[in-house]
Amino acid sequence: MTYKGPQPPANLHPHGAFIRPRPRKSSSLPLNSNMAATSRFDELALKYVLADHDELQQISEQAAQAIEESTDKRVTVGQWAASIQQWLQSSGDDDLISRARALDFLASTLQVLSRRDDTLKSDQVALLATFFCSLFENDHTAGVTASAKALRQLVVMKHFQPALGEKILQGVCKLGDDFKLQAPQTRLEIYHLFQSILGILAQAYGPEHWQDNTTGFIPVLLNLCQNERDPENLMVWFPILKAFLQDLNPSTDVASDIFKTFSAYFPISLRSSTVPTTVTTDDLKLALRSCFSAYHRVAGSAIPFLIDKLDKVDQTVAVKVDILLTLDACLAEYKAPEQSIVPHADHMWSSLKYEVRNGEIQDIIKATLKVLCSLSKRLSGEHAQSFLGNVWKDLKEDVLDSKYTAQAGRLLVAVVGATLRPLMGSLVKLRLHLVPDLDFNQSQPEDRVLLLDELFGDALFNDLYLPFWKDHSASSAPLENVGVLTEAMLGLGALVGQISSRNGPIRRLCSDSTCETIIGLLAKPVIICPLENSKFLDSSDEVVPGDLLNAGEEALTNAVPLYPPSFKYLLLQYLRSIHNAYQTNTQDLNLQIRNVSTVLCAIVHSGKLEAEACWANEVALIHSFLQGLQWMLFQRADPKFLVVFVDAIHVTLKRTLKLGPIWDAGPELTKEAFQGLEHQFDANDAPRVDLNRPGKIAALATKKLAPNTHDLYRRFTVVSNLNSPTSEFTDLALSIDLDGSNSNLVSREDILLNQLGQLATSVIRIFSEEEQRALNLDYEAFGLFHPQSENSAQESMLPSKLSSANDFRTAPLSLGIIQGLWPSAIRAEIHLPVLNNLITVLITAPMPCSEAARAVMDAMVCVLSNKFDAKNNSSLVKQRLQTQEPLISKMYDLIGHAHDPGVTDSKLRTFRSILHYLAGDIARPLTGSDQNYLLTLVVDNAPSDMVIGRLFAQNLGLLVMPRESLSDINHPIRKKLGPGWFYHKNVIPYLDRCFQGDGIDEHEAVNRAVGIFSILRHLSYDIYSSEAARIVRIGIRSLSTFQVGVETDSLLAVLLHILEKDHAELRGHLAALVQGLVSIYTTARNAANARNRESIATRMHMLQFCQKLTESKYDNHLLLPHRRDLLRPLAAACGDSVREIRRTALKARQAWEGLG
Amino acid sequence: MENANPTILSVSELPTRQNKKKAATAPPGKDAESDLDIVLRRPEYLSAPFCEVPWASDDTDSDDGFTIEPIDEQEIYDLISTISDPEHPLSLGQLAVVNLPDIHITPSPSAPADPNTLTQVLVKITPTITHCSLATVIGLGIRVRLEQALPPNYRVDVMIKEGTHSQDDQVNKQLADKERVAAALENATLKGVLDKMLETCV
Repeated sequence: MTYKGPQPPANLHPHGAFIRPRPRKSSSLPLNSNMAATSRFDELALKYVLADHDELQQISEQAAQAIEESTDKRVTVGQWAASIQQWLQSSGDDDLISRARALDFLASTLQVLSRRDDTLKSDQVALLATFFCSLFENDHTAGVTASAKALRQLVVMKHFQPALGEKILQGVCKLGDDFKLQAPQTRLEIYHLFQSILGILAQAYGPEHWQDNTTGFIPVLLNLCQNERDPENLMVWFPILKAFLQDLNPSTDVASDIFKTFSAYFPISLRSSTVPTTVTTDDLKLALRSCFSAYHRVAGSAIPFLIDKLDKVDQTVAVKVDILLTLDACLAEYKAPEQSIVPHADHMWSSLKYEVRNGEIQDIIKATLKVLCSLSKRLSGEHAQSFLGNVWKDLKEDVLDSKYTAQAGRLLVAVVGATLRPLMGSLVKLRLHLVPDLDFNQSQPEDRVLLLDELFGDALFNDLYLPFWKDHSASSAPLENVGVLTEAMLGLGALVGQISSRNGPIRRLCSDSTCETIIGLLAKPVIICPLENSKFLDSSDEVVPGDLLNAGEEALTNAVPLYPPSFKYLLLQYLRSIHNAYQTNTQDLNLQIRNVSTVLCAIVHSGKLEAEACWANEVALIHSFLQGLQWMLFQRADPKFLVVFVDAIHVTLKRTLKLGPIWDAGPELTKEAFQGLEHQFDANDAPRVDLNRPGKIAALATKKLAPNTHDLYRRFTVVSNLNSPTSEFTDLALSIDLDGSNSNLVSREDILLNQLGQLATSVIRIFSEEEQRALNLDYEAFGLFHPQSENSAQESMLPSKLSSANDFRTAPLSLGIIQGLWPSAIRAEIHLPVLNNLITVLITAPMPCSEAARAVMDAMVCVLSNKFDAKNNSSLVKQRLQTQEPLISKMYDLIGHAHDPGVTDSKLRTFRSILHYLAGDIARPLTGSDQNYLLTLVVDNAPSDMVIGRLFAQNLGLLVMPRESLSDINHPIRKKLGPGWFYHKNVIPYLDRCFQGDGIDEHEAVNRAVGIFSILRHLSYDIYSSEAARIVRIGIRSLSTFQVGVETDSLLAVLLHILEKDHAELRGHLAALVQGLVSIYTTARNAANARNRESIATRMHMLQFCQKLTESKYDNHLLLPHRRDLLRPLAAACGDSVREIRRTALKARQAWEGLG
Repeated sequence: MENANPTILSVSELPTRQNKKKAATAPPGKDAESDLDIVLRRPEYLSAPFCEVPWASDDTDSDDGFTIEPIDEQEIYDLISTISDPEHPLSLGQLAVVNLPDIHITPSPSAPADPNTLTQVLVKITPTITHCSLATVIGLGIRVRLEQALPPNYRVDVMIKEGTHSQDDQVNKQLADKERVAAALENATLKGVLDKMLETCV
């Protein structure tokens, strides 16, 4: 058999026409005359054919070099091509190898040449290409590999014409059925050739070029390669298919053919093979997947194909996951979703939902959810809505069915998206089928997540939540329901806040009536049940289980800001429940009212409300509290109920003040404005908000409270002396509600009055000085907002005393106002007479009032003695100092008289009043650098009194004790160095008189020490640090002389303070200290008054002291000698009758045990 | 480890004193509490040392926070339930080795505390398994803890609860034997184990 194949294009002569290679027999090729060169290429070719594998490269390099270097390249190339002629002419299968090798000689030379890609001219390239193409037709045995290799080199050459590409493809296709007989390696070479050509074609022509030109080579090529099985080859073939779709714009028919070709491989897997391969199944899957997702016009085939595969029952997990991932890739990649995805959305949903609903394998479920997520992301506008509608229709029943709730929830979350997760999450958790957080990330653009009104709005509530709630919250429901109900409540809270998907202004998803129903449901456990003491669940011990209550509160706190009008409903319900509860059962009702009021406060002040809404609700809240108060008054309720409301108002107010950083912006309030507000309150249920002045709202809110307080003051008091001479200022008494006619209630009534006074202070101290003056508050402090009788002569009448009616029980109301006033807002014409009157009352014996009223008056005398705006007017100062004359003479009365045991209490009371008076004065010494004479008398003489000097001394601390009425918030007059000055003048001179001798008897020495420690415990260490050593010495001595109680309490407090601040001061006294402490503790515990406050405090201090000793950086060797002495008493202290002391004792005991 | 998988109670399930009190009076609003208290407490001028009048409001606690109460079973429980188990990283309370109903105080703690009255505390422990070899060590730990924490007039007895240990007689005998207890505490290794157990006590 002879070879009849093509001949090399030896006639590449510039002038020679291309002569088609002829069969061997016919002729030799027309050779060029340059024999030397000819022989050189012949030689090289021969060498190449015979050479070992490792020399081949070198030979082809030489051939290429010879071509490069030649001057006449056309001739040289001709010779080079002709050099293999002898093998082409050879015959028989025996020469196959040589022929292949010879052809390879050309191919590998081309390979070298292609690196410098301009050596061959375009006609030479074309001739060579044609030659090698023809081999595919003729020489299926030896020529294919070399030809493919050579063509690959040719197509990348610079002068390769893209038009030739298509021809080559068609030429290669002539292999026909022999293609699959080629070795895989050869086929791979051909695939690479295809890939290169396709790349060139795609680059050379745009997709438009292929518009009606695609039927050409693609079907043939598909036909040629359709049976490919080799994995490595597939890794090239799939991208080629992908390139067909992506780059060549195939017609529908061709695309469908292409789809048929690659879909035949799906699902792809890899059989184990003896031939090692670097390709993995995953590589193949990915390559194949990219074919599926390459072109949206195959969607019509691909999606149904995949869904169909998915629905087949016998698929393995890996296959299903592959299908789903492929589907996901398609959904993510396809362009023009309206044409490619939308038509299949419902089909996909109806198939995919079952994978989740009935699925058991997590991988499949996760992949399915991912697909759904991708799907819903690609839908928009009405398509999205109709899809969502379809989904919801399917899922609604599932959500209600406990078997499928979790699955339905996951589906919903996947479809609806991340932003709605809280709502949907709660929906899902409804039955506590908790879904572990889905672990793929979804991010949906904000504008896509709006829920469909008709599906998720009222319908969601009515179809889902309401029936669920009714089922589960029945009072007979089991306790386990608490968990679900808790979730449901949070979901309900979230539902209120959802925004509608409709165009136009933003509005809520649910209608107002639904929102109100929701708030109503939430109100039941939070407001109604606690107040009415009706059990939410019969099975629970508590009225409302704690978790439920907390969730309810949280839900309301979330929901009310989202739907502010609902707060009014809550308030109405609150009042209604209080009314109901009061009629049936009042036990502990006041506590419940207090708790619920706190919740309402928390809702208003959750920080989630807009400032304006917050203020509106705040006013409404206070208004409701007032209504509650008035209703209780009408019912003549126990004062304890009234107190709750007063307190609630106070809390709301304080919280508002915390929020209001905009204080100074408040408009000045004048008498007229005040009256205006008052009328407003009288006329309307709640004042209107003046929204033209934003930023002043908080200020207004508070200031508008003033009329309320004013009303309350008026409500609780009456004008008592209508019949008295007109020259006198009208005296005021308590109204009939509080007049003390029921002696059991007096103390509770007093609480009410005091709390009301405190509320007034909080309101009044907010006003500026001018406002306070404008409102005449110094006058009202005693007129208590009652209009004076109509006698015009009285208009100029100013109050001169505190009302003595009801045994001075109105005093807390007056104090409430006075305490909050600026000094300059109290006129001297009122101040001085009232102060005089107060002093007279306080030094009157027997005492004309109760202890409680006296305490109030003491506080008032302190405030008044402090807040005197003397304006540097010496005559005023003189008048003011004159007011203390009665006190000085009283002081003389108190000391140095014969002992009369019956009046000790009364004397002490008077003395304490004097101290209160001085406390106000000390903070702002009116006398300048001179010592106030009264103060000298008190400090110097009182402790040395033989009879009750000790009692006096015990009380001296009142002089410097920090007190609320003198704290900055209440505008006192304070000198910064006041305490230091006081210490210097009134403590240091007496330190030396704490020891016996030098005319000082033991009695006086002890009394002085008692007085000094009583004072020192209220001073800061910095003030007395320079005398610390002396003070410690006095202290150590006093350990054995002080009485257990107030005295030891002060002493230990001071010593503890010194130990904390400067432990070195005590270092030399440890033995005495330990001994003294032990004896004090033992006495304190065994004393008859072991249960009294000071005794307990003494024990506590002692144990804290012991514990602190071990922590105070003393070296162990200083402490260890005392351990034995301490351990036993500490062990005994572990049996103290007070639990907190036992705890401290245990700590101290362990600390000492652990020493060393 | 002999008993690798004991039943564990969560800390919130253990008996505490707080629950009773909270349920009765604490208002539910968490951060509101402090604010409400500010208002509800009596005005300063009516409190000690300014004034000693009783404040009749029935919804405020005593203002100094001291409670006069004798040592009761709950307090004993609090002392020992936090001891760590020598085997597990859990407390004896969590493992239900000590249980509130198994603590007995005689005379009953309702009587006013007198430092000279001899009081007996009996704690019965429930080993997690019937052949627990560490029951003695646990008993010893409880004994040491109570002796270190109770006043001198208290006598402590620790026993194995009836029927919860296969050799309860022997263990009880060891725990009741003062000599052996003293000797055990001399043993450095054992002392180390006990210290480790008591480390978590507060």
